[in-house]
Amino acid sequence: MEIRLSTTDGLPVYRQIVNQVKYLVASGRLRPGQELPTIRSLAERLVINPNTVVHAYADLERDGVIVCRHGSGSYVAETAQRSSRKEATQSLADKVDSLLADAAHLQLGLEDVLNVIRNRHQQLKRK
Amino acid sequence: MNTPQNQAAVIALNHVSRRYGQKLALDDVSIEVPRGIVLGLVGANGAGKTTLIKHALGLLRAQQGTVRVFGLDPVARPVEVLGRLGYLSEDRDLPPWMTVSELMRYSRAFYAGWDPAYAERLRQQFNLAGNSRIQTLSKGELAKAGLLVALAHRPELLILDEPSSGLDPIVRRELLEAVVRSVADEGRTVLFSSHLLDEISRVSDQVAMVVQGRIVLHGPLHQVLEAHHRMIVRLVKPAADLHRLPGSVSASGGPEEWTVICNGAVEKFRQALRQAGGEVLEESGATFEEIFHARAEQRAGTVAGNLQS
Amino acid sequence: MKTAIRALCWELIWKNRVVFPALALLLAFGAASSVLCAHAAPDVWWASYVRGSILVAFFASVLLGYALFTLMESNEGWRMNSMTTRWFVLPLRTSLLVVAPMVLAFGFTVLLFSAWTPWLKRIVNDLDMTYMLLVFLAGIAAMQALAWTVPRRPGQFWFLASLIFVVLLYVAIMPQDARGWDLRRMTWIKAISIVGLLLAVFALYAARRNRRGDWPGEIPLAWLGGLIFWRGVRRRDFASPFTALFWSDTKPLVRAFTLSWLFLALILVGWVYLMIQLRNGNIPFGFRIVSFIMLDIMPFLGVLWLAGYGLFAGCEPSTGFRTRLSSFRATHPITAGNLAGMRITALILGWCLVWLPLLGLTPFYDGELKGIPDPSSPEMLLRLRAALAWKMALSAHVMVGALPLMLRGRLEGFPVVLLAGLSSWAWTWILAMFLGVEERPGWLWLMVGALLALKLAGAVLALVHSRRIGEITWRFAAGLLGGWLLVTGGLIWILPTWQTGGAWRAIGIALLVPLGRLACCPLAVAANRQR
Repeated sequence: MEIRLSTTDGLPVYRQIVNQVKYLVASGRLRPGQELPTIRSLAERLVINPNTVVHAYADLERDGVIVCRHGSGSYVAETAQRSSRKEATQSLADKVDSLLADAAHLQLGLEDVLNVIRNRHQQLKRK
Repeated sequence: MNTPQNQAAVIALNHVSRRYGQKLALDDVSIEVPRGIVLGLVGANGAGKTTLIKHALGLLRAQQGTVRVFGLDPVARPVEVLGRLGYLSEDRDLPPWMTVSELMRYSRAFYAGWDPAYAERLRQQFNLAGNSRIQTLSKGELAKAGLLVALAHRPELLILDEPSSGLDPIVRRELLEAVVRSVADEGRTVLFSSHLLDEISRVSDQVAMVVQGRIVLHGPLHQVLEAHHRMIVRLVKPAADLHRLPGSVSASGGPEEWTVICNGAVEKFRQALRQAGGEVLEESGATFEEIFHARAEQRAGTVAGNLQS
Repeated sequence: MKTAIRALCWELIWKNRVVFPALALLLAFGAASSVLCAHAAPDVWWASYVRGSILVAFFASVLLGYALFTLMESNEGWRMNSMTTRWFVLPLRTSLLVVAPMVLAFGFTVLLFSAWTPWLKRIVNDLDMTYMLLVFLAGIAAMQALAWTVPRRPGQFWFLASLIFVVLLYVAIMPQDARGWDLRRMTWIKAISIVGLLLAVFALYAARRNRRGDWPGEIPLAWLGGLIFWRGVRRRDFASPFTALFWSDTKPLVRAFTLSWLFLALILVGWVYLMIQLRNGNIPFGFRIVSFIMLDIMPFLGVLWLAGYGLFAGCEPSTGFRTRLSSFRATHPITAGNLAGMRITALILGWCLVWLPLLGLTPFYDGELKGIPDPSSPEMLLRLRAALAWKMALSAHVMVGALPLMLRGRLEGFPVVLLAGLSSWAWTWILAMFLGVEERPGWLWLMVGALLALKLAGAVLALVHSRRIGEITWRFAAGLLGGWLLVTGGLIWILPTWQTGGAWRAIGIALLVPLGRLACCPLAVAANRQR
């Protein structure tokens, strides 16, 4: 499980872990039932405070993404994929919001935005 | 005051002030470090971090206020207090003529809880040759040797004064890893001061910001980050004193677009801004560095104001 | 270039400006004492004491002057240094870097000698001051050559510096005594000048090579050290914090200490042998002076060196006279009493090792110079006893010096240490003056008794207060008081009773043997650690 942290984008570290784990689950890189690294090993690997990892795992458990079995570690929840589709859609919605805001500032309308999306999609398919 | 919070606090400074001649190094500082917490003390050079730490070690007598470590006064009971903590000093003044293994044997005589197997493991992890003289160690190895001596007796409290100053990124990471490992292993309390904000952000549970002798911020790190927002605003009317709007910490930029760091009361800020004839263009979370600069500016402004009045 | 020279000279003078008040003080003392001697009757009992102290002051001034121009930066913490290898980065030629301090040092020495000559002439009027000046100038060249040659090894530097001093002393005084000095004077002067010049050239050569990094910076004696010292390191653990502290304070000094001790012992044995040989002829005057300096003054200064070179400073020995506790030391979980007690123990041990063997030799010196024909006579034994008791008390007093002040950590640097030692030396002269008084009026007894009571009361108060704040144990207090009683009692017992005023001298010894200052040491260390 590869996590990349940044201390320069204003998000607390635990939030970054939560977001990235959710992304990994949604994209299938973390499969349901797969074991997550222990709190201690993740803290050592990322060189962060173990309490931060505890906080992140607690949030993930509360959101139903992982399940913490006492004594034997943490695992990705079975239902994670489904609930994370909602999360994925939500995160996409955030990106679309910022896209639309940019478009408004550049004085481009909805049609222009859709055209750009279609063009880019076709270019990607060609590659 | 004997609240449950107080009883659990490992270090408790209460209204401590310290003057060096004309200069006020600490200005009515009150701070508590609860058990098991990693507290990052952040501030510019000369802000008062080392002075604060020296008060906790009993190397400075409090001119005003009280200092309690493990519930004891470190000046009155130096042996008990110092025996339960490990300290890495800013200037790493280890005796230059000793070798690393001599240093370990020497330090062992002072601490009851010294674990020779653990010390040896640390020495190998840090890659320090036993028979190399302290004089010949590089800066990074010197810091590692100092950390070894501080950790090997498994202290309840670890105090690190600028552990990474002057070190290359590789050694910095090694040191931080060792600290993280020891926190994970034994839940010890750590107080460490640094002006490297990146380190503080990664490793601290709580953070305290010292600016010109005052603690301007103290709280859990994630709360601090979540409470502060960066707003880019546009003002139609010139400079309606942005500093005075509720919640604003600092404002910079101009003449039309300004970056404001806002703390907490976001809605009130927006309302006041609308009344003043401005609008919010962008809003995002503030990075720790921006919060630091904003708070430093705010404090400087207060001090300047005090000096003038 | 002119401004560069001015800048270098300014740096040398300004960073060591603390020396100049000290030198002025010593000169004032020398002048005043000299005038006093000149106006007094020629055979008054305190004349020899005062003359001796004038020579001590002069010698100390010379030492300070030398220190001003020869300590390289490796002796940081002395609060004095002269040339530094930092100068190598300046855009100046090496010849300038070497010549500027040397010329300044020469000018300074000439000034010093001119200032002291009138006062010295009054007490010893057949000293050839010009010749001596030349010798000391050559000495400056030698010391500077040394400084540029072995900048990296302070231990070797000090060893060779002591050697140079001893040679200087001989060369300055001895040749003047032989008959026909006026005839041979010019030859000696020429020889010394040539040697001085050669040394100056050597200094330049060494500095040039040093700048290029092409110079070892030390005399490769490591193999010799390996021969002399057993390489086995004790691998057992330390039994207690006290043992660990003691080891950490004495270990780095063992090698330097042993070598210096051997060196000193060799010199003294040779000296005594010379004296015995000369016994049949007339003992020359120069010999007397040098004997006085060697056997009466140098051991005390040697004791000062011992005390100063880290054994009593508040932190690690290798940093010289820096007395502020390092934070490594200050955060050891030990009481101030432990730290102070360890220092005191090391000091006492060092004193036993250095001074006691010397004491064995001084009665011979006393006996020979004061003309006792038969060395095994009972008179000799009595002289032995008197010398032992008196000199032991004196040297212990001087050795402790201003120990609490040093441990307090507020004063730093070589000039301060020297002055502190000299001031306790001055106190011994004052005491000796009182004790030499023939008639003892009642008020004198009262005053001396009061002083003794003050000393004891002060010590007890200090110990009680230290105990109250928890910095010492009752064992420490008991040990200190008991030790003092033992030593004082022992010395008084040794003191022979045939000397007039035995009781008087007994009180003198009780006043000299250090107690009060030692009792204040734990408080001083505690104040050093917690500012």
